[in-house]
Amino acid sequence: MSLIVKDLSKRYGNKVVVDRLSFSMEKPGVYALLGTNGAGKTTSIRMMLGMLSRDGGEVLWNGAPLDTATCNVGYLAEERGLYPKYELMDQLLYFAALRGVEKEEAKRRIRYWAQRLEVEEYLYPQSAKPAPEAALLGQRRPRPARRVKAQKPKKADQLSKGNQQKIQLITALISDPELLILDEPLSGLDPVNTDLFKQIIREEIARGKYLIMSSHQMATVEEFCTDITIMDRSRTVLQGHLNDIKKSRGRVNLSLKVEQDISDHITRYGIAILSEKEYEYRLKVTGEQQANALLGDLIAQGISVITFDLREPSLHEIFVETVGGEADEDA
Amino acid sequence: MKMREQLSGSTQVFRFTLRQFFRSRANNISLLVMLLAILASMPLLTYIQGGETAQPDERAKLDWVAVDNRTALPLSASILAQEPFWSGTKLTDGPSQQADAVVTVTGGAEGYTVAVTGQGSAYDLSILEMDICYYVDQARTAASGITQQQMDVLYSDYYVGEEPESSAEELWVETDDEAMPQGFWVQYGYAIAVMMLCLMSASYVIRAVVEEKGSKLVELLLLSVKPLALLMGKILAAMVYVFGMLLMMVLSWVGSLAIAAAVFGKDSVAHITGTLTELLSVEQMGLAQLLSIGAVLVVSLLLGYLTMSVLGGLSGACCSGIEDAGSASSTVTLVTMAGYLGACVFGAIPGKGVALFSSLCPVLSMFCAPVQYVQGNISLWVLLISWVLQALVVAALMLLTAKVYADLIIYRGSRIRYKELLRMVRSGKEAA
Repeated sequence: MSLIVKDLSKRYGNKVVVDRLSFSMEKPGVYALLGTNGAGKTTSIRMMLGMLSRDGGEVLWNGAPLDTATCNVGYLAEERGLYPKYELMDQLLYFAALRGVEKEEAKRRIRYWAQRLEVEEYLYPQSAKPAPEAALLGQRRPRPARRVKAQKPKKADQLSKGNQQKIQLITALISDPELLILDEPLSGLDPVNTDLFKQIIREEIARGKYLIMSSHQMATVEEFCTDITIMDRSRTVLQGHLNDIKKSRGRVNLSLKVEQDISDHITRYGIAILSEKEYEYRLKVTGEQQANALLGDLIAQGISVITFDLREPSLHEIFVETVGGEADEDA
Repeated sequence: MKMREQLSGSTQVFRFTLRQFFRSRANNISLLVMLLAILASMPLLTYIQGGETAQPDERAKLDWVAVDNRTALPLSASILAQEPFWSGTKLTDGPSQQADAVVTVTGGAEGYTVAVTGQGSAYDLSILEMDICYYVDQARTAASGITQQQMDVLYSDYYVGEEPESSAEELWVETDDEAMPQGFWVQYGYAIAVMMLCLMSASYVIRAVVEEKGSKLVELLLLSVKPLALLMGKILAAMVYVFGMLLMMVLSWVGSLAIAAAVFGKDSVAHITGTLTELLSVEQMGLAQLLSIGAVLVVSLLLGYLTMSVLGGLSGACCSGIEDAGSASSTVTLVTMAGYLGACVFGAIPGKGVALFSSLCPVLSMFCAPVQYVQGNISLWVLLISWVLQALVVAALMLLTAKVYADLIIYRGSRIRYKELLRMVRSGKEAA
């Protein structure tokens, strides 16, 4: 299976909103579509899914134009919503029916995902029957518990934002899609739910799914994706395998922790100090040679080095460097 | 793209939307209140009017009248049943010893004699004589070969007294009881029904479309269904719901009549059923004719419904949130009210030209065409042309709405005005 996006273009009047976006996924994994606000990520996704007409380009899944007939797609949109006044179970069954999932199978899958995402209590209200109370031998049988009022099935507007997001993720996964598109999947989630979502994303990757992820949370993207495209003002400004991109930038991030002030040594080597806190430095070096020279100097001077960590630039740094510092970090 | 592909998924949308219409607490409460109000209306009205018969003074006190027609004229006692005055009286043909009054009609071409004998008030007997004389006159005139048109001329209204100099309004005119022709009231009643249908259906469709857009669900839905299927599913669901509501309202009204009849006696509702029978000329029609009129009404109502609900879908597509729904409804309300008022005006003006115009003019035709046809003012061909024109309007609106719905379905912003809409459609561009 493969996904090929070729020369995807869109314009509104004279304004180009997506300019010949091309990328491909030859094997399962996560592809990250990154960009500043208004760069054209969501428009590109909408065009890929046929929700918006294209002014040019094509999207192929296994060589055929991508649509719901050729590919089982799951989509978690950036603009998330549910019918606020309708029962959640009704909505999930409706989305499942639209995706061609049989009712019984849909119920089974909803049950699974409800357990997995810990939203069972909203989808399966408690029964009206009171819990049986056991009587100990020789004791008077306890007075029966007051009859519990049966809970009504929940509606979307009775759920927190995080729980609504879980229901929306179920709608994206209900058809067991081969291609899953997640537009800002973790925005607005608390750390616990973020971990839960991440775990599910990992499981989907392990099951050999194709994922396209758009996010502003670079750390999360970096955690999952193998390939990236960075868009800025409708154009592709950086594209490729993430490790290759990082390697091409070299190991330039040095974290150094010592027991005394070494500012003089650092400036002597012409190294930029990014931050400093209690003899813990974050430095930008030109490469391994410069970092090693500094380390040798410190050792020669008898300065005790507690931490010496030389790394490639993070995706966040690559992104900011590429688009000129216009990114806004949600994380 | 093939139409089948465009409409794929509309069944699921239809089922889900209809289910939600029926499960909506607000809908159910308002429907229940409406049905209860209708159910209580007739018993309450009858009670207020005195319980027994609504018009006790307008009924004959005779229990049984026999008409002994010894002539060749086609005259039967049942003809008296047309008159509400005799609605509580048993009417039989032939001589009878037990009848309260017997009317004997004798004679031939040289002259006829009407003799009324029996017990009862002089008033009832004189009315009986007058009515029989009237029908004998009609029967013998018809038997002489005079056409209905000629009879209409013979029996038309006439003025009594001198013509005043100033104004014709001061003339005393002998007419039927009603100031307006009977056709006007049929047109008026039908126009109200169509207006209710249009306003209700459009509001349901607009609400469904806007609610969906406002809930930001559209993107998720568009993954599986095309915009046209989304719209069609909603329109069909609203249609079933609204027609179901109308049917329930009609059944409630019938139930209300039945309750009134059970509580206060059959006579208490006889004047209503009599008026209805008279308005619809039911007795003169056969079952086949009644069914064909029913079919004409159903097709016409469906076309009217589709026109306004598609227009509602178009208005809804231009909105971004539920706060725009009010202004979106105003267009549909305006068009509906224009059609309704036009129907009331044209319904009061007799003439073939007016009937033809009101049956063919878009919007107006959905209020007027079926009534004009049932009243015999236009031919079946004109009705069919009217339907074709209405269907073309629906198809054109549908194409426009499908285009606009597809382009604006993920649009977020201020409500698109119709001017901008037309410009957008002409240029083939989407709203940014």
